[in-house]
Amino acid sequence: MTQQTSILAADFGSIYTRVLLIDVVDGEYRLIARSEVRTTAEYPDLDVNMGLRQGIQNIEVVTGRTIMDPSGNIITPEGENRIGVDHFLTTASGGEPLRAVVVGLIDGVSIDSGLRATEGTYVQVLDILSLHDGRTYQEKLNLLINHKPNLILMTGGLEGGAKQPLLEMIKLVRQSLNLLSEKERPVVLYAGNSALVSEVKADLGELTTLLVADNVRPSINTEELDSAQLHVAFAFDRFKVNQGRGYGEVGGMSSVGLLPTAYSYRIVTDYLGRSRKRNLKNVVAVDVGSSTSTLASYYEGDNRSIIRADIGLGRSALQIVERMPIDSIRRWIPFSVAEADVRNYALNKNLQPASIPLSRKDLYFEYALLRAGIENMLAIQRPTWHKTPPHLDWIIGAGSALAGTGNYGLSSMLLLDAIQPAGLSQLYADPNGLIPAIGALAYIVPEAVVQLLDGNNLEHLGTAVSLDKAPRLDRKVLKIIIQLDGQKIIHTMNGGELFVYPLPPGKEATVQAIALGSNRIGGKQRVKFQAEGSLAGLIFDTRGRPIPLSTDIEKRSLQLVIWIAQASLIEPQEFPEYELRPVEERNIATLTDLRNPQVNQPTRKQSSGLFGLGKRRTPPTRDDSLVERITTEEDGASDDGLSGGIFDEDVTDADLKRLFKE
Amino acid sequence: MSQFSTILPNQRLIMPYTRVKREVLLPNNLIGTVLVRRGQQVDPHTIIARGNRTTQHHVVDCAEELGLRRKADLTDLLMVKLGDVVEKDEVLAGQEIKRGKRSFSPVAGQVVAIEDGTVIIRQTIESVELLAGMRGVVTDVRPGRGIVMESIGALLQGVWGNNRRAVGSLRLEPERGIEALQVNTLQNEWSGTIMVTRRPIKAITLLQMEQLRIAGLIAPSMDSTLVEVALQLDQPILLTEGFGEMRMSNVVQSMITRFEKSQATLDAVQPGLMESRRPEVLIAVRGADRASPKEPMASAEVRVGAAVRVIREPYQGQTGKIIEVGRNSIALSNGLKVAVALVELPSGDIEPIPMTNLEVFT
Repeated sequence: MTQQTSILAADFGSIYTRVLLIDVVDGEYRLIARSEVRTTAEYPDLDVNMGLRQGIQNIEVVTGRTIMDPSGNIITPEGENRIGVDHFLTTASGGEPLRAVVVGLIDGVSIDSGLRATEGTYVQVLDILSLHDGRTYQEKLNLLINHKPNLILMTGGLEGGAKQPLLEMIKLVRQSLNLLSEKERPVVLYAGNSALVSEVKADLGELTTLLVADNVRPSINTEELDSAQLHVAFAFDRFKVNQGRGYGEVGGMSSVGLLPTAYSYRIVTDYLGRSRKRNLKNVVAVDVGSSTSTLASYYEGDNRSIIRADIGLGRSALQIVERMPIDSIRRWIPFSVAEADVRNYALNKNLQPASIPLSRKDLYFEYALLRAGIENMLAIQRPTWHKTPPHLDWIIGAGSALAGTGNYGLSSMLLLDAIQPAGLSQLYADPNGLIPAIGALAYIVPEAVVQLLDGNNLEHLGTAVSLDKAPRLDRKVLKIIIQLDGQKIIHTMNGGELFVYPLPPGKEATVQAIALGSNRIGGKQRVKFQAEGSLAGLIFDTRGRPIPLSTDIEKRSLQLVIWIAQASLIEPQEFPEYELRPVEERNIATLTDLRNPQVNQPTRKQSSGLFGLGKRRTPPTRDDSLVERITTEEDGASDDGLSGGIFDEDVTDADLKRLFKE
Repeated sequence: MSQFSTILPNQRLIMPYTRVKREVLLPNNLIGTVLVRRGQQVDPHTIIARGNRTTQHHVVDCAEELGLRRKADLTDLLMVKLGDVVEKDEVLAGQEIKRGKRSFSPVAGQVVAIEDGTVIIRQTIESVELLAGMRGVVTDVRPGRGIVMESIGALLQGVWGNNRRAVGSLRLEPERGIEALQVNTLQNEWSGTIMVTRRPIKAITLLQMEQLRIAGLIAPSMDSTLVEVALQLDQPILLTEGFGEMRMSNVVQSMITRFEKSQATLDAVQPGLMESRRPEVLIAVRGADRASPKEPMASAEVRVGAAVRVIREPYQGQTGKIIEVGRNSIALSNGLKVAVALVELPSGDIEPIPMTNLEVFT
């Protein structure tokens, strides 16, 4: 019997604050109530407490319990008549990441271990300084000063190894701290040769907050990350608390401080991977937020996570476009689109990060960015996996874009598209934000982690059966036999299809999937399993791995439109022919172009010229009479004067060449 | 499990007469001196603080240059001390100041560290002046950083800015657009004004803005290809709607029309994760000193009857009124299932719009 402990957990994302009440029911921890409100860290409130209190009030309304006193303080511990809660836990992923510089001796050894130690927290590594990185002492000093990091992570030196090189780096850090004002000095985390701890304390201890962790690389063949990771999480807590916007007050009320949400994903994948009860070999959890994204995996005993502050569907949407090849996004869009239009979409999402795509085109833009972002994270993780395509037993999606579509088939398809597993996979979503709470709970009520994960508190989206490799589109490639309620359903699929068989929660079926010809399901020709009902049901994917998206826009348009219809069970809506015609790319304009239009500057993108002119042979100048003619014509075309202006398509090249003639 | 979601809406302030309180601070990486005091009246051009921007540190290995065997020997040869301001090529250390082996400063700057045989010079720094940017009263001083000030007027918030600031008279573009204006340097009535265009910005609009010496520009939208140029220009640019080709919403347009030729401060703040301000225009209102308006509400609610603006396609920019707030999610034609409000649009049509796609006007 579990001891009665009530827990209130709050997770602060960039957009949403999720508040959960967890308590013991029938001897087991269960999710009792959940509330979701907008995070109030940004304009106009600038204080996360406001959203938090609104979220707690909602919980009070739906449960009839009192959690806060009249001043808005959380009552702990729980008193008589279920007033208050025993623990209040907080996690955060929103806001600015912790900006860090990693200082060490040798790339590939202690520095790599240092970088891995930052993987569990929202850390943006600004620079890496090593002993022989080709930069002078002065350059390193200026980098440390001008980057203005929040954290300097010092690694280096094997246990019992040479001290002198590391003493040089300690001197560098000390000088940089001396040259910064007190307010600007970063926290220093030392995770190097323990023989130098006393020197580090003497040199740096009085200048700034100094944290000392175990050596991340005690010997060439061993790596000890746990202590350093915990200290990085602590530095994140300090950073958030000092950031203002109410985080300090919230962290002060919490039993464990303010923990990074991403760390929870690592804890959960680790637990699931090690759980003998479930017998899972490989688990992946992916959370795509507004400003940051996390991918945690447990793959054949190896637990890893990646946190990216440049991947997100709101505040970081533009960074996806800027940092990834444009075609990695466009290949998921079923109509012709210029790069500038993808950027327009991303910029608008950056301005309105909580908004939801309502038009069909916006829906494709949104999910193209989502898939490209996850694919980019997987590209880093995948080389450590032994099988391509990966065999993943569990895939968990989190974040509004993946878990909040309200359409379980669509959420399932997005997970399959982005991660592209082969074989048999269970697909889950965490729309309630339970995983962040579980991570924080692990510190104080470990048994609650087990009970919450085992107690079906995640949403079971579906059971996916995916073919390996690339099946032929014109051939029958998969035969499915579903035995349910004494009936036998037989269905045969061609290559290149998705098929969803609704098997609702509470139902069970015996499923046999037989790969035809040379096709395989996770390396096997036939799989037979007992399927539990789920929100979307059984999903059979014969599209192949990697998913063979056509480079021909007409064919690709058909593929994407049909797949989304097959998965989400909505009517397929094809795009008209004119939406598939090639579009002209527009240049990124430069100031030189603007001020000296006669200079034919090479441009970054395809060169059609700043004003859509293409290459101009003669130095152009203005002809105002023509400007007047063009604008007059345009004015006549628009009666309300709101839309329009000089649009590129209204003006011919000949007009513009005259406009800028010598 | 019980669930309850409350949507605190997107909010944009468009107010013809209000009291605003704003922090005016030096850039984040600067600490300087505040030149005004609490209670002081300031006008847009009052310098309220000065700060210094650090550039580079130069490490001069004097012991090495002088060929010293022991670094500690440098102490007796130093010609400068900590805190000294030095000129480029000034002698830092040596036996004699005018001859023999000497060590020179590579830049003009200040000696900030002497240790371990080296002298560190902080290169001369660039001075930054912070202007009040609007007429008002200083209500608080943030030591070393700037002030909090209060002002009264009309307030219009946009969605994006290029991180520039200007003061000028608010002017609507002529019917033919900014692009049609003649560049006449002798009789340029647009010079120093804050121009408002109802059309999306084009490259030629920006060129005209430079050539006509327009102080600032307010427009509904701009193509993403022009962002980099906009960020490099000296004049502020404020977008009221977003990126792409969008129309200016009627509410914004009528507010601007009402205050044409009034003095305005355009603070085109660039939105960012840690940026607590919004791009906005504060317009001086005649007779503002007589009545004392209230500050805007910090948070509005999505409620029946609230005036809202749709922020996403297909009804982007349209204003309307909420006639029903749904508690349950409904399925949209694109397959998503989300919480919506029923909004009556200007056409009279009633459409379900996701609550997250609505902006409440205050």
